[in-house]
Amino acid sequence: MHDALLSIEGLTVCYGDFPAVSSASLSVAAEGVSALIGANGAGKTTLLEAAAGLHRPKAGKIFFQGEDITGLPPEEIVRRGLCLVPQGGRCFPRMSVEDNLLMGSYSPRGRKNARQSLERVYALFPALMQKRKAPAGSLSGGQRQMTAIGRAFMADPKCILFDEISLGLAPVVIHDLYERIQTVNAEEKTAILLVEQDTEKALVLSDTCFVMLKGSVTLSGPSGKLRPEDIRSAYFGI
Amino acid sequence: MKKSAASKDAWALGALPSLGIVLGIGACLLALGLGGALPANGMRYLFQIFLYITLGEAWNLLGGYAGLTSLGQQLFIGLSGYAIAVVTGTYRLPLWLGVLAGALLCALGAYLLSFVLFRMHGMYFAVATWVAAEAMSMFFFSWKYVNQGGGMTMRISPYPTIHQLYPLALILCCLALTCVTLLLRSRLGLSLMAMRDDPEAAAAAGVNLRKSRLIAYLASAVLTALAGGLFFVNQGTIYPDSGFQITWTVSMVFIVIIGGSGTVGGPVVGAVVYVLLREYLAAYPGWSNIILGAVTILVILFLPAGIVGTMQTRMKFELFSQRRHPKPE
Amino acid sequence: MEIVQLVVNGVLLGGMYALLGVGMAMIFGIVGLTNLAHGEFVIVGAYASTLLAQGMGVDPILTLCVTVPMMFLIGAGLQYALFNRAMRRGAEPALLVTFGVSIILQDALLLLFSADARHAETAYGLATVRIAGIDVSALNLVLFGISVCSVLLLSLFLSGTYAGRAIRAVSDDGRAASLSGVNVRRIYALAMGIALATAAVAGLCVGMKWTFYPSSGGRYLLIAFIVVVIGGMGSIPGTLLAGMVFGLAQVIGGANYGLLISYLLLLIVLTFRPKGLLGK
Repeated sequence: MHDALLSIEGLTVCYGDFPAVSSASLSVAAEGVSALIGANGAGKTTLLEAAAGLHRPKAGKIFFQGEDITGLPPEEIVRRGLCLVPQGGRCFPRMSVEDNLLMGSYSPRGRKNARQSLERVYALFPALMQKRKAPAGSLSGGQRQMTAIGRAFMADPKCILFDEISLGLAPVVIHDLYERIQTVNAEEKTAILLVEQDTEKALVLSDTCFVMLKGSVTLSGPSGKLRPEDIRSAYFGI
Repeated sequence: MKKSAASKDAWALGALPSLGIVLGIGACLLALGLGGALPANGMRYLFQIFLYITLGEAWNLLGGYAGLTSLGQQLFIGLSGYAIAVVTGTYRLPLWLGVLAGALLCALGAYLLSFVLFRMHGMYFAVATWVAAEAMSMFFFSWKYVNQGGGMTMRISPYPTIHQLYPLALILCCLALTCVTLLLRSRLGLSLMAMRDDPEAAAAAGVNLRKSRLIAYLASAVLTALAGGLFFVNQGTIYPDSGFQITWTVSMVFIVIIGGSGTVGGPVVGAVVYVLLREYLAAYPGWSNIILGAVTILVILFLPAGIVGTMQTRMKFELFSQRRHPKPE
Repeated sequence: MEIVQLVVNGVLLGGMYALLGVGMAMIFGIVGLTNLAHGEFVIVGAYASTLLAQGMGVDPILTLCVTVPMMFLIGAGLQYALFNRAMRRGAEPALLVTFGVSIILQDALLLLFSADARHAETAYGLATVRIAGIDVSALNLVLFGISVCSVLLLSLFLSGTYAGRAIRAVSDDGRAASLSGVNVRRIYALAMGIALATAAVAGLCVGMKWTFYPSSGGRYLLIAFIVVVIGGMGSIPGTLLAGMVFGLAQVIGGANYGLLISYLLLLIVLTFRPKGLLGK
């Protein structure tokens, strides 16, 4: 298990008494794109947030590059090269796009090559180059997601977790964003784990797929080889 | 309709045991005082404790229940003190008229201020109340009618002694406790606490925020005015510095935090602690606010429910419960 | 000519007011804490500068080399040890904790330095400079220079450094900032340290311009608060402008009614814009 880049073992996260995630396990390989799908309330977001250090798990372990990162604060996890792009992007609305991106390189590993990373982000998202002085709050939804993705990229991460970046965006924009993410994955050798509502899209995009139901991972395997009926039963629990 | 009236009665009845205890103790203390069984010194302590309980309850009604952290309650103390001084000193009218004028003036002042203050929340409210009191203080400093910074003297003849003031303070204190307990047990208490915890949800549930806040603010102002007025009658003179000083609010905050914010019993315990501690600290001039401030901070950090609040959770016993239904066995 | 004179004086005074407000605005906008002890910290700075300058026989401005780092450490330490803990209890308890700190400081100053009025003397305290036909007090010019330089330095720090960006990021969205690798509590401590460093500079100005007492803190807290309310949080140009407006109001109101007028002004502004003039 430990040769995986990110491995989550028997993770349980509770809100009060309610277990949002209960003994979920999954592991993300050092290369490729993994997708995490599941119905609303299955615990996908909580799982990602716990991996990024936003929730303290009640049980279970999280390993990143073979090291135990369970219970570490978010900034320490970023420092080790694991980044989360949270739902809705969460830009800093009053700061300029460029400052938003530079915030991504705040941790020491990103700071070394901040200038080069910035250029690469602008090459990846030319739209951001034009808006670099504008406050992030004035951007369109798609541009805001680009900024958030760029910000994660600036940290020079080994692995990026994306939480529903397609939420509320037009199909064209979504297609465009995923294309860029695949570029990052291929060129920078950054592992990707993404949560996506659109099951078909997730299966097409990813090499590996995980299905969550009621807080647990009920199915996992290579995206191309999973049978639709297995996915359906893992997804709906029937 | 009928059902709600009946349950309203039940709420009020539920308060009876606690109120009975208070009034019983009050009657005993009154008898002791009037019977001359208390030494004058003891009477002076109790006099102060009664007034500080009233001040604490009044602040708690705002800060502990209504979620309105006021730093400007000294406004009402100063106004009421000056009203008494003007009525008795300038116009040579009887004391009771002065006290009445003070209370009415403060009620009016609170009503007018509410239009300004209730538009604000949190720290804006806190600082605005403080600014209002400071502005009033500066105004009195330069107002010829009240002798500017020179202060005023109460002229009452014969001047009331502690033997006459003691029962008044005691009655005021019992009145405050009764008022606050009944207010909190009424629908108002429920809406105040709902408002404190989540103003939007309370408004969505049909609570009239302005009306509930206004009642709490007016009640608090009048109780503060009465206590402050009695305090300055005992003092004899009032200055802008002594009437409108922030120290009044410091003591209220201390009393409520130490005793337990959001409990009716809290200010009672807090006032006793405050008066005794201050008396003890008088031997170390200059240190009293340092100690009071430090104790307040430590209590907020380590005993956030205060003495009474902590006891209530530890011992599962509530003095002056605001619960509307008997606890399940 | 008289009007020009008035405006110049108001603007010069306004620079100091902006400096008084900027520390308070930072803490309110970034840490989310209303620091009721800000005025006392200014007075602590004033005492430190005045006494150091007297003791060492140097110009009070030189004492900034000592007072600014000292106040920075006090601020960061207090945030770590006290305010971060208090903020976990909620906004009102935290407000009351700063209130507690303010009364402690006030009485501690009284114990240490007695109730005597203090003032930091300078060689140029009474000198005037004639610029374009207007007499301007040299002291006011110097203080204006110090204030505006400090505010601009702070502005450069906030826009051009990683730490400064992190401070702004935390004020926009603390959670997203921590996902970018920022330790939010450490940033709070840094912000409080900087706020108290500005209070040290403001204290120096207060000490050089006016006499002060241990009890003067409340008045400067209110000035700082007024500037915050008029100028809004987190906008340095707004703070500078607010300082100038308020300075003008003071100069026009005169010594007797200036403060009273500004208090009333504040209440009126808050009545119509309960979250400040530029607040959302």
